[in-house]
This record gives sequence, C-alpha cells and structure tokens, in this order.
Amino acid sequence: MIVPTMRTWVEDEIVTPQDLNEQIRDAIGFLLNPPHFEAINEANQTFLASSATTVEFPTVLEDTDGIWDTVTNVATIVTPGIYEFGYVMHMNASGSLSGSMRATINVPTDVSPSGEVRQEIYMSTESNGRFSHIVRGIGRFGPGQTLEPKYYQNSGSSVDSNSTLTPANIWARWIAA
Amino acid sequence: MIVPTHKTWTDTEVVTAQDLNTELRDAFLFFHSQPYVYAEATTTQNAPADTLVRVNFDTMSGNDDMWIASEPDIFTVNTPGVYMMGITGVFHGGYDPARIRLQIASENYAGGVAGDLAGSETSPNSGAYGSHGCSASRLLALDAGTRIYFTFRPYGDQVNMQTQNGVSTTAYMFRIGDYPA
Repeated sequence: MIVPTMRTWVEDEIVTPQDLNEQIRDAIGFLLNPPHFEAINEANQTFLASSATTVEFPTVLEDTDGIWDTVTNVATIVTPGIYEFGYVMHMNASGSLSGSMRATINVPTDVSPSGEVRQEIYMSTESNGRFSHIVRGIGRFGPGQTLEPKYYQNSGSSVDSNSTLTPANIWARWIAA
Repeated sequence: MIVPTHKTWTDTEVVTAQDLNTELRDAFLFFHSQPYVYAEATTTQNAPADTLVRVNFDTMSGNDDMWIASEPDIFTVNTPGVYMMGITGVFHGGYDPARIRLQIASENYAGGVAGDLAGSETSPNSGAYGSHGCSASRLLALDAGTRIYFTFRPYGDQVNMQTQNGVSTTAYMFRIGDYPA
C-alpha cells in the first residue's frame, strides 16, 4: 500500500475528481484498512532441544499487504510505518525440560538493538507441564524489513506447541506513519 | 497533539481552502501519526524480596512527549483517547523468587479504579541460573494527564530486571481511537 500524502489547498483552486479521490477516498480507505496480517498454526509443532527453530504459521487469515510468506515463515513489511506485532504460542512439555525456552521474533537492529524481541521462560526441570509464550512489541519498519518468529529450547526433551487450547498465531499491523 | 473536530457542512456553503486544510489534511495527518511511545529499560534494576519497584526506562522512540528522561518511570497521556499499552519484562535468574508479578498501573486513572490496571505473574521454577520473562497488556480510555507506570515485585527472594542476551524490558503505548463520548 502507499501511505497517502496530504496536500495543502489554496484559495480559488479548482477541486478536481482526482483530488477528491486521492485526498478523501484513498486516504480514508487507507485508515479504515491499514496494512495488517494474521496467520495461525492449527497443528502442533515440535521444537527440538538446543536449536533455534523457525515457528511455522501456514494458514493466513488476513493479509492486506502481502506481508506473510507461508513458505519461509517470514513477514516482510511492504508499507513503511510503526507496526505493532507479536505471536502467541501455548506449549506442552511431554518430557523433562530444562534451561531457557525462548520465544523470539527476530527484527532489524534499528527496531531493537539486540535484533530480537523475546519472551523467555527458564525451567530447572519441568515434566509434563504446560506454559504459554506471548511475545509483543512495536517498532518502526521500512519496506523490505522482516520479522522472523523463532523458538529456542535450551536442553532436555523436545517441546510441542499445543494447538488444542487455541492455535498459535502471529500478527502485525500498521499503527502510524 | 490536538484531536481534530469536524464541522457539519451546509447547503450552498462555499468550501474554502481553509476548510479543506482543517477538515481533510490536518485530520488525516493526525490519524496517520497518532501518539505512541516505545521505551526500553536497559539498566539493571533490583527489587528486594516482596518489594514493589517501578520500572525506569532509559531509551525511547515516539511522539507527543509521552516519555521524558526526567521522569523515567512515567508515560504521560497528553492527547486523550483509547490507548493500547503493554510491557514485556526480562528478569535475571541469579536469584530464586517463588514468583514475579509484573503490573501496569496509574497514579491518577480517572476511568475506574485507580492503581493497578493489568498484570501477570510468572513462576521461575527454581530458576536460579536462568532468565525469565512475562508480559501484560491492556486497552483503556485515558484522559489527558493520565500517568501510567509499570512495576515488578518478586516474592520470597530478590530479582533483577536486566538485559539478558541483548534483550531488555520493553513497554509501549499507542492511541487507537477517540475518547468515548
């Protein structure tokens, strides 16, 4: 999408249909439906220990700007601006877990100096437990900059996302220029 | 920022350039650049056991002067409206609290019960050697002048809020609509 550019009107100007279409129709249309996407995963995904794994969201519910790629599982911003973003995933520990469980969104370093927005849980030992990750943030993105959901489990057995409670979901939406 | 007000047009009225600039240009510019703030707490802050501590932020991006360095623990609403707000806390596991509570609160919220607005808790599970995070969020209609702050409180042992593996505690607010009539 193109963020509308608003002009300054002058006295005695003839207002054309093109003016009204750009300055009213297109501008209001943009604000009523700014760029956003949501994708979900209705299946369980297994994350192995000691490796950073791409979190998969294969089903797109909304995508007004061609942001989400279901093959690479990467969101690529098309329209520049401030975006709110995040993902939610419920987990099911079927074995014994230990160490850090890191739900992360990799973002450009000018959005977060570390290049990550993360919600982390540490467990000394956990067996057959359930827990949830909620990762959220906002930041300024330019065209072509990306958000990549990753999951890292430090050690122990593998852990599964648990879609029976609610599907894992990822989203981003434009909130300001 | 000034929230735009809109006139009611009348028959045979001559539309002036000022009308269009006020009713169209300025209104759109407001709605496509609404107030927001995003702040990070990169400096380590310690909370003793069973003690509530406010989060001090040290870096920010945003507009509308919602965060200023002289009040590092406060987000101030300067433009009334409905706001989305949230925090993700990052805690160091060098200690062993039974749980940590993270909260969003206000000094003067006028829309209901003042004080705590939202919160969540996490149990580090004997996490003496790891880090831990949790988050809270809330959507609220807020008057101009509303002062929002964020707190954390460990139970049973102290805890540090600090940057872990380059990731810091972050909080944000952004306006999404007009204050209800």
